[in-house]
Amino acid sequence: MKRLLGMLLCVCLLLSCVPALAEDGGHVSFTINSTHSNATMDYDKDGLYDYISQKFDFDYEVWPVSKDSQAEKFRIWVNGGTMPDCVTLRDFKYQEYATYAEQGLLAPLPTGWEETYPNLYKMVVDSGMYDKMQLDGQMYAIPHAIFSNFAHMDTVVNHLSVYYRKDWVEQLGLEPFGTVITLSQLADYLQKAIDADLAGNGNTIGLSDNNDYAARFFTLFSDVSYNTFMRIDGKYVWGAAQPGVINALKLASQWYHEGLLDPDFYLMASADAVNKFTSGIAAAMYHNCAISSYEGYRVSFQEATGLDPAECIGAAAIADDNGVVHAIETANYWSATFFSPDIDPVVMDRILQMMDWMCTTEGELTVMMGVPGETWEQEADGSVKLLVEADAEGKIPSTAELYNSFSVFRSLGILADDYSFINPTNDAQVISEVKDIYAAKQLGTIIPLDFDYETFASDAKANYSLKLEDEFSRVLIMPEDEVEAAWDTMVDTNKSIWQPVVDDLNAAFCQ
Amino acid sequence: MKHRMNILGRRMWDARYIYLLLVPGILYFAIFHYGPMGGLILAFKKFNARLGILGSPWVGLDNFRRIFSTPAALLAIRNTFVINLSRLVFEFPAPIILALLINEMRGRHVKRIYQTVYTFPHFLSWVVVSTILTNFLSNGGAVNTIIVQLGGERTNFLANEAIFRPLLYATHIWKEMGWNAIIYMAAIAGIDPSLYEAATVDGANRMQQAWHISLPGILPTIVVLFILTVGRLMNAGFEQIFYLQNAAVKQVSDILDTYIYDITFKATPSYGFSTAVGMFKSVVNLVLLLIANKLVKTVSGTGLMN
Amino acid sequence: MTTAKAPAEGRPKKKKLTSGDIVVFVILTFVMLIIFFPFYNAVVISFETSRAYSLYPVSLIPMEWSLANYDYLIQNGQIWTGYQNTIFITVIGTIYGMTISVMTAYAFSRPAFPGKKLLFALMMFTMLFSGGMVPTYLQLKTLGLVNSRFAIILLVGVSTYNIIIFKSGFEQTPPSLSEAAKIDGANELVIFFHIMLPLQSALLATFTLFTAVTYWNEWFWSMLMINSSNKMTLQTVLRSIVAEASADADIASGEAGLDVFSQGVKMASVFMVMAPIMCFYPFLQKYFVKGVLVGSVKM
Repeated sequence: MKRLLGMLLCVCLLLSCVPALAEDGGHVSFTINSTHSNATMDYDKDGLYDYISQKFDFDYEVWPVSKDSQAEKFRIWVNGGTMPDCVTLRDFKYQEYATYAEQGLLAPLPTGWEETYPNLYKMVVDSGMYDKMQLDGQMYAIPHAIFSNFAHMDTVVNHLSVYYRKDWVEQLGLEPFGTVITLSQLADYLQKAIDADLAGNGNTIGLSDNNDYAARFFTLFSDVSYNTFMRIDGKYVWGAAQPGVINALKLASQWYHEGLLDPDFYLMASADAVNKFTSGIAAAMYHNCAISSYEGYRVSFQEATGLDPAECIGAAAIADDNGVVHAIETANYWSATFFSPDIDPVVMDRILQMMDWMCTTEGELTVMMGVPGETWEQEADGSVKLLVEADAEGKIPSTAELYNSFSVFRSLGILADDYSFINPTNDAQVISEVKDIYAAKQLGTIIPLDFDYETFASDAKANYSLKLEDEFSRVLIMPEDEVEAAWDTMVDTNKSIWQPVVDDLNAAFCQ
Repeated sequence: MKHRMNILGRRMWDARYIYLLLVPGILYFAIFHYGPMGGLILAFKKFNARLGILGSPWVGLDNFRRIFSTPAALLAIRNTFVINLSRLVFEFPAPIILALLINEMRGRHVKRIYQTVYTFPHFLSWVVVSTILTNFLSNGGAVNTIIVQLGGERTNFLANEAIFRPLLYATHIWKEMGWNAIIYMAAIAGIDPSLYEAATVDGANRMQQAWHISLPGILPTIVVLFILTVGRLMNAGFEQIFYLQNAAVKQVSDILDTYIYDITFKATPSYGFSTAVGMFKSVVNLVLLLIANKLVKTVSGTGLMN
Repeated sequence: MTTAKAPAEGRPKKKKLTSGDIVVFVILTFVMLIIFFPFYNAVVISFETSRAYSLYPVSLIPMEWSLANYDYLIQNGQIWTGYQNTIFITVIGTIYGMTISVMTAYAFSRPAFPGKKLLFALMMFTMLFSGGMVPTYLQLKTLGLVNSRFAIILLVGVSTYNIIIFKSGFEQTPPSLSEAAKIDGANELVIFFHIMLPLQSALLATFTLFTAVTYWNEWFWSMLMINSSNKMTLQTVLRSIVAEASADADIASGEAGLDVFSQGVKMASVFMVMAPIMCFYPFLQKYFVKGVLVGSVKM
């Protein structure tokens, strides 16, 4: 009798387990890459990984891709059918996405995902891409919103701004710069800094940028987004062919020939250009100015020069000489996550569950701040209290420093910008400067983004591949009176590449 | 007929060990070279990854037509010709001259040291060499700093369209000249010393001896290396240009290989098109090789297939 | 015409130092310095602080000593993994590549046998035409070699160029030797291993070293094929330190931040990649040169 009862007990226990197993599929393993990985760091040995992987019962293997070859690797992965289970790509391009989806190289999200993963759905809607990324009613990628839970912006603009040396402005006896500086103010400062050789090495540089960022800077004043297509007076045109770009080119050429722009600018990789500023030999640079970028440059600056960045570095929005700030609209997303067409549905479900959780405020806070109870905890009033101590120099270690796996998880949910304005690990001065710059940009001229073009796919667009920043650089170096003719020639020479795109766009949207 | 088959069979049996030795090689070429060659039909198709190479639709000569209507492709073709022919003209003689010079040098030990330095860059990858050279030649780098100190003006060597191609040749010579010179030196070592003695007796000076004895003496070596160089010409130079290239000089330095790399990896890929460009390049390579072989045959009587 | 001694001078030595000698010496010294100096400069930069570098881009000794660059690389660990994998690939690859090349070359060096011309032509044809990057990648994938170091090992090591040179070498061995051996009852394989190979040892040693260098410097296929971080090779690690991503990304989010590697770190990583070659090379140079001499005469 006892034996029979014992057996019955066992059977009941077993039966109680079975439904649970059938529901969530148990432990899963998957391969994944990240937008921030590099070789030989361990991404599965820290507290944050333990916490999240236990919560969702998985383990992962990270396939790091160095940023310089990410494009190559991704294309080979997708076309060769050798993707990891979950790929997050920095430079999401709709055209390619559509091509790959059409060829069945990416896995669609399961039908009804909007209900199954409501927070994920909210993020995708916030990104503005929900409708636009549907292909035949299916979603093949998850775009990551820049601002969603914690921060909002009426028109999302990019964060590029001008960095300058506050201490040099003072040394030169100029008026301290505010949140906005005009072109002539900047030019004046650059010229004086160069003349006074404030870097002390005989080679002070004015504006340090590479060809891409230099082009972005000057074309702020062209009224159009020079390397894309947009509607003007109801018809689609090519940005580079618009007269405003010539004005930008002339301005650029003038600055170059006056020595205000680094004479080496087209030799620079973007990081080298930044290096010049952070090692103290350049007076200014036009570069990424999100909170995380700004803080990063401060650190590099301090390491390279030994000076206090709070006293020496400032950032500002750039305005034309009428004081009107110029900025460029962007979409509210960056990077997108794809799934391999060979992925096991149970694995995909698990990953999506995790991503859904990361889009809740609780999940987002965990990813941004670390393990609750270890590095932070939530107060009664909902604010976040830091449990980590500042180091000897008063600097609070960032989540990236504390947990390697942060580099992986950060690319799966809402982007760090969202929380950055209230993140207690961020420097208050930096937060306030960046916030002011964003606010100033909202009030100025914003070059609009054509969303229809962003999410348009056609053969002509697939064949459209011009590195216009290279052309821009090549032309601005020429003598100023040759610039206009050279650019017109460039526009003409490449007509066979851009005209078909214009035609396709007009056929699709302007009939 | 049976009789002939028997003889063939017998001969094959006699050569059985040779076939055995050939098996790995045959496997290698079959798997890694001929296997992928099937992919050449992509040049006539529009690649669809899901359908695979075999299932993708045919588009005939469209991809080749596209080559001629893409300015960047035509530029790459032109640059390939110009750069490769210039390489032949400038880079080929350099090691010969160096070998002749080293041959004249006295001092066994100093020679050894110099040779070590000369041949060293050959063993480094272009990743390493280009990093060093980019830094060395940059606007803020060593060369310009010295120029400025001597009172001159800074020059953007790497970003100057007029200078860039000569710079390619110069840096390639810098890297490879020492090594290639060794081969010529070996050939010079094989020249009968009595020829030199006779010439000295006749009153010839060193320059004359070099020109009239050393050079002709190593001519067979020069010929063979020339043909081999031409054969590898179209495939050489990718890594050097890939690493040293930048925006400002792309128009003069983009060759077919870097162009193919760009369109294969750096843009929405159209594999049919990039295969077509690659095939085009191979055809051009073949033509160049045949021309070179013919030329050399008329001049010296031996070709590659001797 | 082989000698066991060091290379003979092409002409008898003279005792007097002539002006010609001086000119030659000056030119050659100039060339030597031009080749030497950029390397020296790179090493100096690697031992400097970045501030010293921006103030004094060229100097004979570091203006401000610093081991920070090397500290970073050693701690980071990427380089050691790169070394491990590159050494693995080089050792196995060289054995594999040389074995196949030598066997193939020897077979082609034998007098006519059925199919010789055809097979040789097929091999030569691959020098001119190839399927291209993508079909080769797809082939490697079919073989299950994605993310495997064996993809590089198997693909890179066999060179038609080398096979042709070995072939000439074998062809120039006097046939009397193999005839004699045949009479003694040896079969082809014995002849190959006990007579032919030893005679070519100088040439083969040289080309073994060449093949090793080819594997050591290989970057392209390593970049394409290797996914896992623990299989990365030295050159891909170096390239990831030295090269920068282009800022193609739309600059919308702060996430697009880029790693900023200073020139000092770049030069230090270059030095660490060069160092083994610099250590081994002067000693091996003797053999390299000897082998080339011996081999080139056979051409």
